[in-house]
Amino acid sequence: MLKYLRFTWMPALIALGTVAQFMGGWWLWSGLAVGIVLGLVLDNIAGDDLSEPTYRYPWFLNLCLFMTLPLLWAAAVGYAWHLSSDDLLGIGTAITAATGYDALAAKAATGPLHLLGGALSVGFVFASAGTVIAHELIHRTWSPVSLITGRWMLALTADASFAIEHVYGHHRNVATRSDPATARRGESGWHFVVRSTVMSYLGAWKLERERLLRRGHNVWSWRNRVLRGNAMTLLYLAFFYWAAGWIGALAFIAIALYGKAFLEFVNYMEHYGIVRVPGEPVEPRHSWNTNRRISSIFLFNLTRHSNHHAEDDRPFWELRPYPEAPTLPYGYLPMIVLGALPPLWHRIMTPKVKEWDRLYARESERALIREANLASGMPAFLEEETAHSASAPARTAAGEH
Amino acid sequence: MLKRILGLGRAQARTVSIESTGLSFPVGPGETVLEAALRAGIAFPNKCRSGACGTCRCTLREGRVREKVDTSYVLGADDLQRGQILACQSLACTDLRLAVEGLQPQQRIPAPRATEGEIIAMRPLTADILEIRLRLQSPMPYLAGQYAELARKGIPGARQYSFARGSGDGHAVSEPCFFVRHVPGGRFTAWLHHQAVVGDCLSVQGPYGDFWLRDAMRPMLCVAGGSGMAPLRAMLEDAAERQVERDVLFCFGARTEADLYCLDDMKLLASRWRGRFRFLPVLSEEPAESDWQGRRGMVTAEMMSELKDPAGMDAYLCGPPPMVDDGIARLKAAGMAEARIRFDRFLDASHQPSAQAVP
Repeated sequence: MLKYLRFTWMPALIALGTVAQFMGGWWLWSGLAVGIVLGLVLDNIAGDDLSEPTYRYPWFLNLCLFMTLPLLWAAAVGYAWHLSSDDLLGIGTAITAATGYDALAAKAATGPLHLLGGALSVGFVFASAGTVIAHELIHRTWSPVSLITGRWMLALTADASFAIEHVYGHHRNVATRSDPATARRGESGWHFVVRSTVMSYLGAWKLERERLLRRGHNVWSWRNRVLRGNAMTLLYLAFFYWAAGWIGALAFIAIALYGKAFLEFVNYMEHYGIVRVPGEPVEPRHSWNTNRRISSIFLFNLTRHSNHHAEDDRPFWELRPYPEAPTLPYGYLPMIVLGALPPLWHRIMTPKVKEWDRLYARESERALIREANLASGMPAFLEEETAHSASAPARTAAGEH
Repeated sequence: MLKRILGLGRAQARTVSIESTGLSFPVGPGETVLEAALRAGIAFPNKCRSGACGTCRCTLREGRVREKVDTSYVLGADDLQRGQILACQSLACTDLRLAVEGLQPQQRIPAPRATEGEIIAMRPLTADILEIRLRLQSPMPYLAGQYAELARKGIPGARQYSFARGSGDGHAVSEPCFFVRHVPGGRFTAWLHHQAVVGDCLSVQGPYGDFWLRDAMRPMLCVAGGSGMAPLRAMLEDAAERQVERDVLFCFGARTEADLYCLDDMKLLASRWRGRFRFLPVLSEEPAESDWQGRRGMVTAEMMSELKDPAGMDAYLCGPPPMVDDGIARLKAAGMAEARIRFDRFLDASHQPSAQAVP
């Protein structure tokens, strides 16, 4: 039973967060606060989860995925209600009528600082639940319902085209130079966020354009899934504008970009510095893995990334922990924070990448490692190359008995 | 009534044949061509199974399929025109005839040959196991799991050593590796361990043996003791390269912690392996007071406690004859069919009537 329960935590907390939002005032910060307690504090002390349960009723796990979309919509509508100058859709009145709780008073007691917390919380939920669950769904290319649900979730962070670039671009090119979503050695998190966002969007456009041309369709048509994805985000934007005017529209744009940045910081950590020869198979060692319990439970095993990339079609509940794979030093949220603080990131991850070179790289990848080290512009990686050429002959001699 | 007719129509199994391989297999309703091929034990190339990578592309020569995704993200306009499909997304509407590139009907077993090899590296792995690398005059193709006979001029007889690294599925290898255990009283191993230097030459004949990995979907049990690590490491390396997805339990028996080796290789293998990969070292003579946290006892006894369904597995055993024989007996007793058990007994001078005899 517990094994089913673990994946209900996320939808349950989104629902609770939405309720808290209607309570107004400082409650608007609760989403972010709970996220920080879970992701930064509990995750560091709750240890690893290496369990591999089997599920007889996967439909229940799928339900947890699909029900998240209406929950995210509820969170968005709740926030728009706070921004709106009157009682949007009569929600406040309805709450009071149903429960006796004076929702309109709570709304009136909510000031700009509270609204800031609301934006940070809603964006955090769009990222941690929306993008993660959407990612699971858009991998099910053969299921139109999964695809469309995932894309509506991604559109909340202005990213429906992720469904194209991630599956047909990132997964094929991961850990090579041609993948915009693989972070390079020495690259700072902020540089990566911008590069990956822009190049991934262009990548999706290129893939979609080619697909349409191959099928003999016009690129500028309703068949274009990138354009349709843009339209989905515009619809959300229009809703916020309708609810709260320019303030609403600006708030939605800010939330969407902030949520998208989370997704990119996650991309940043998942393959940082790893190399692969284009065309060679993607193996578990080509991703940074983590089995931190809280991260795994709340992010639907996205953390079991080594298995995910080696076997793209596995549903999240079948992913294996691979404790032998290259492992991140912390769970997901701490790594996101580190990613936003480049000096700390490099201090922690440079030795990890060098360890990857030593333990996980194969001979065919040595030349790429050298290239990546030289291109990193970071003394810690550059020195690897100068030290190498000096010590190489000595090592051979030692190896020969 | 109409529903029943439709239902009947859909429930019909179709047959897929693969051109110039002689292979054919049935596809059930709702099943993709790839799923059916893998179920039939055919090594159909594949990777992502979501219609994104294009590894399972093949040409539809005859018949009609329904594809679950739009394959034009992956297949070019020419490919589409040529009738290429993605097996992982194709449901058979009729019987099919496919052309699949890179699908070999049967693995070829390389013919034995003789050559000379110069020792180019020697590295002690444990107190009594030495890794040697030779540079062969003419490269030797072999299947991982096979062995070669090594002989030194002046020391009578030839000794058999398994290739310790993969060959990329039967490619000719110019610098093979072997693990040589020092056998007390064995002249050849004494010479190798104490006198041989880089640059010395050996004669090499091979490959021999039929201890290679058989294609199947069942989970694998690998059991090795001492230098029996060599053929299994080779076999697993090649299998990892081929993207084999079977679950593996590799039980390795040694006397003490100091006798364990190739641990980094096992770690790397585990990080590359697509199925479940578990390496379980078992120590038989580790002092009770040591800080060894792992298993203790006989490897063959310990492995049994890990097996849930021995009858549904394939076993590969390799190492000292007592270990191999005991392992086979236990597996048979647990219901494993004889045909599913493959083994290689490492005979050495100590098992021979005379220390100089050919094993």
